Amino acid sequence: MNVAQLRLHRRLRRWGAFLVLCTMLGVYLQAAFGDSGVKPIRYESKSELKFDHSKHPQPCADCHGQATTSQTSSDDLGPSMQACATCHAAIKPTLDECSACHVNATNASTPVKTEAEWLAVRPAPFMTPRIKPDIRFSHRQHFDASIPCKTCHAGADPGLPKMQVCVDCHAQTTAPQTCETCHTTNVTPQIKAATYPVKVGARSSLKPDNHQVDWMKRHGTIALTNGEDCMSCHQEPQCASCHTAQVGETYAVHPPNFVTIHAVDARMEETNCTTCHSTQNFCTACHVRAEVTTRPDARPPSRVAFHPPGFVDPRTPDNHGVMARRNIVDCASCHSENDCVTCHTGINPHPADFRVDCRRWLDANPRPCAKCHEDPGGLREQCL
Amino acid sequence: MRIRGDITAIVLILAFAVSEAAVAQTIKVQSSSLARLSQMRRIDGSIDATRAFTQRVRLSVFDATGTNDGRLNLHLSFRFSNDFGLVDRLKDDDVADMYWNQAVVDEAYLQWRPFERINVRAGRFLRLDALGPRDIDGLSLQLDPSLGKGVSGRIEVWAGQDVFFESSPLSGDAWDIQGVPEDSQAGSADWSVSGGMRAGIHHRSAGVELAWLRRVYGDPDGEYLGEERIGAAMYGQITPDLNVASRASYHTILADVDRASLLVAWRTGASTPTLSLGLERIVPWFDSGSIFNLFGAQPYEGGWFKLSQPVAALNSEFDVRTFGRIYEGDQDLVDFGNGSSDATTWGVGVGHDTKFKLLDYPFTWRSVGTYSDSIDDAYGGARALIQSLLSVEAIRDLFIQTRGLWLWANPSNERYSTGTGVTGTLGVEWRTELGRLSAVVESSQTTFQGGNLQAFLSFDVEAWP
Repeated sequence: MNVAQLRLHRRLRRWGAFLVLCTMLGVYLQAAFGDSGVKPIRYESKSELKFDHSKHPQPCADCHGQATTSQTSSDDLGPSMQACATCHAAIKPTLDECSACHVNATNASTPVKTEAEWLAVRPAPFMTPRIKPDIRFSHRQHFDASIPCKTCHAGADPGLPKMQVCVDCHAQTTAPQTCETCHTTNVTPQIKAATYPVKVGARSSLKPDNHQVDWMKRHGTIALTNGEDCMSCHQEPQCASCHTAQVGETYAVHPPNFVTIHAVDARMEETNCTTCHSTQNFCTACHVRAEVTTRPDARPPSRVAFHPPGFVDPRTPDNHGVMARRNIVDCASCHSENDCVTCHTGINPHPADFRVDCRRWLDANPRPCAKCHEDPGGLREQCL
Repeated sequence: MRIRGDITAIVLILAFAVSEAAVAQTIKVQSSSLARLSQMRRIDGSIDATRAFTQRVRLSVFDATGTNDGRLNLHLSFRFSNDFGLVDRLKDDDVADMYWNQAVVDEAYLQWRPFERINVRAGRFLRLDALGPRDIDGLSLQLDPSLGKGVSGRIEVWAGQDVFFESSPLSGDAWDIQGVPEDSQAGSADWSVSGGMRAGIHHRSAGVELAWLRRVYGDPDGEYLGEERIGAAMYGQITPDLNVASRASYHTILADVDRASLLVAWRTGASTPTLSLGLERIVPWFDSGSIFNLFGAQPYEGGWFKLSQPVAALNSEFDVRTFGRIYEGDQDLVDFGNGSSDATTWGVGVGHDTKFKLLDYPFTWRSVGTYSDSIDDAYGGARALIQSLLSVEAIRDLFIQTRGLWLWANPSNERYSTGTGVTGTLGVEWRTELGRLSAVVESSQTTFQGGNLQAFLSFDVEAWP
C-alpha cells in the first residue's frame, strides 16, 4: 500500500467513523423519543381494567379481531374500547358506568349514549402485560393451522401462555423446535433468570442435556464441530460478549488487569491467545504503544533489557534459537522478520533436518526463501 | 479497498431496514458504548494514558421478506473506536493507528434459506468448522440433508477472503508477518482467496465433521499457497455423564499434524466428583510466507486434569487441578551445540465456587490458586497466582463485584529478581429497563512494572424501531 492509498484509506475511515456516530445518535434518539422506543426488559402489569372473560362467551375474534391477521408479537391485540360498545350500548353495564370496567374511575359526568359520542371518547391507553417484542410470533400462522385460541390462552382468565405451552405443543407436532423459531435475542442466561417474565417449567428447561459435566471446557470443540446447533439459541455476538467482561458477571476469560499478567499466560498458552487475537497485529500494536518494542524510534532505555545474558550465544542452553523454535509467537510480538534477517546474514538459521522439508515449502511459497537467498529457484537442488 | 465495501454494506442494510417495505419484520438494534481510562506505567517509568471510547452497533433484520418464517435475515455489526490519549507520533503509525479513529465492520451478511434445508450466507460473517473460527468476506452454501430419524448431515462449500480484525484493511497474507508493509516481497500480493468445504454427520448428542481449506494469494509474478489444512472434529455424549470431544488438523505444507486435542469429562452422579482430562499437541506455524517457519518450530504436548466435587452442605463446589507441558527438544541440534533437550513445565491448582447468603443478600464467591514451575532450570521459573471474586446483588438489578489477584514470579534466570503483583477491582452494574450501565475501577501494584490504574464505563441499550 503506497502513501496515496494510505491517505485514501484514512479518509474513508473517517467517513466511516462519521457514519457510525450518526447511526449511534439515531439509535439513541429512537430509543429516547421514538414511538416504539426502547422496550423495557421487563413489563410490569399496569392494567387498570376490571374484566371477567368467563362472563363473555362470545368468540374471541369478536373482540380480538386483529389476532387473526397479526404477524408480529409486538402487535397490540387488545380490543379498542369502542369494541365494547357493540354490546354494552344496550346491555348492562352500560357505557356511562365507567367504574364498572375502569379501576378508580367515576361514572361519566356526561353520559355517552350515541355511537358518535362514543367514538369520540379517547381515553388514555392502558398497559397490559404484553409479550416481549423479541419474540417472533405469528397469530395468523397459528390461526391458519386451525389451532383454537384456548390451546394457548386457556383458563378462566386467559393471559399470555407460559413457554411450557409452546414447547409442549411444538414437541408434539412438526413445528420447528429451535430457540430461534421464536426468539430473536441473545439475552444472557443471567438476565433471563433475573428478569424474564415467563418462567420455564422444570421439564422444559432449555438448557440442553450436553451443557453439563464441565461444559465450559468442552464447548469450544463442540461449537467448531456443530456450530449450527449453538446458533439455534445463540447469536455470534454472544461468543464475544461472553469472552469479554461484564462488570456484574464473571470475567469469563481474562481476569481484571490482564495486561499485568498476560505474559505469564501468553508463554504458557499462546495458541489460546491466537484463537481470538491476531498476534502479529494485536500484540505488536500494544507493544509499540507501551514501547516494549524493537523499533528504533521507541527503543526502551538502554538500562532495560528483556533477554537474559547469553541470549545470542548458541552455547547457552536457553539461547534465542532454542526459544524461537519453542515459541516463535513470543518473538513475533516484538520482532519483525527483518530483525532475524539482519543478524542471520551468513549464519544458517535452519534446523538440521531442514533439507528434508525445504522442497515442499519452496514449492508452496518461495517468498520467505527470497529474504536471504537471491535465487530461490536454484535452492531446489540442495533439498533432499 | 475493502473499507468502501464496508460503508456500502452499512448504507444498503440500513436503507433496507428503514424502508417502508419492512412491515412484518422484526428489527433489533443493539448499542454498546464503552469508555476506558487508564494510567499505565511503562517499563522505562513513563506513563501511557488511555482515553478510549468505543461505540458498537448491531442491527438485525429478521424475516426481511415479511413472511415471518425466518427465511431471510440480515445482520450488520460495526464499531467505532478512538483513543484520545494516543500520542501524536503514533496516530499515523501503520501498526498503532488501530487505536486512532478506527471504524470496523464486524459483520455484514444476509442469511437466506430458499428451501428448508439450504442455507446461504453472503457478506462478512463468522465461520466455524473443525479447523477453527474464521471471519471471511465471501459466500457460503450449506446443505443440511436429513439422513433418517434423528440423524442429520451437513455439507458446506465456501469461498472468500480472510478478515483479520485489529489489522489493516488488507488481508494479513498480503502483509509482512508483523502486519507492516515493509519492504518484504509478501507485501506485494495483489489478491488473496480462501476456500474450502466441510461435511459432517450428527446424531443427537454426537457428531463428527471433516473440513478442508486452502488459501492462496498472488501477484503478476505468481500464485502462492499460504495455507492448506485438513481437519476433523468430533464430540459425543456416550452417557449423560460421560462426554468426549476431540479435534485435529493436518497441515499439508508442514506435512504434520499442527494441532490435536482430546477432552474427556466424566461425572459419576449428581453429587459425586466430576473428572475432566485434556490432552493437546501443538506445532506453532505461521503463513507460508513467513520466514519464522524456517527456523524449525518444535511441537509441544500438554495435558491437564481436574477433579471437582460438589458439597451440598456448603453450597459449594471444590476442585483440584494439575497441568503440564513438554516442549520437544532436538537432540541432533544439542549434539551440534545449538539446540535444546526436552523441557517440562508443570502446575497444580485448587479452587472453589460458593454461593451463600449474608443478611439475606445472595453472594457468589469464587477463588482459585495455582502454582507452576519448570523441571529444568533453563526454562521459565516458578509462578504462583491467587485470585478471588465476590459478587452480590445488593438491591434488585444492582450488582456489585470485587476481585483480587496476587501474582508471585521467581524467574529461573539469575538476571531477574523475584517479583510480586497485586490487583484489586471494584465493579458496579445496574440493569435498568432502559439499558445496562456498568462501571469498574482497577488498581494494580507490582514490583516489576510499577503501578497502574484503569476505569471502565459502559452502557448497553436495545431499540426496536
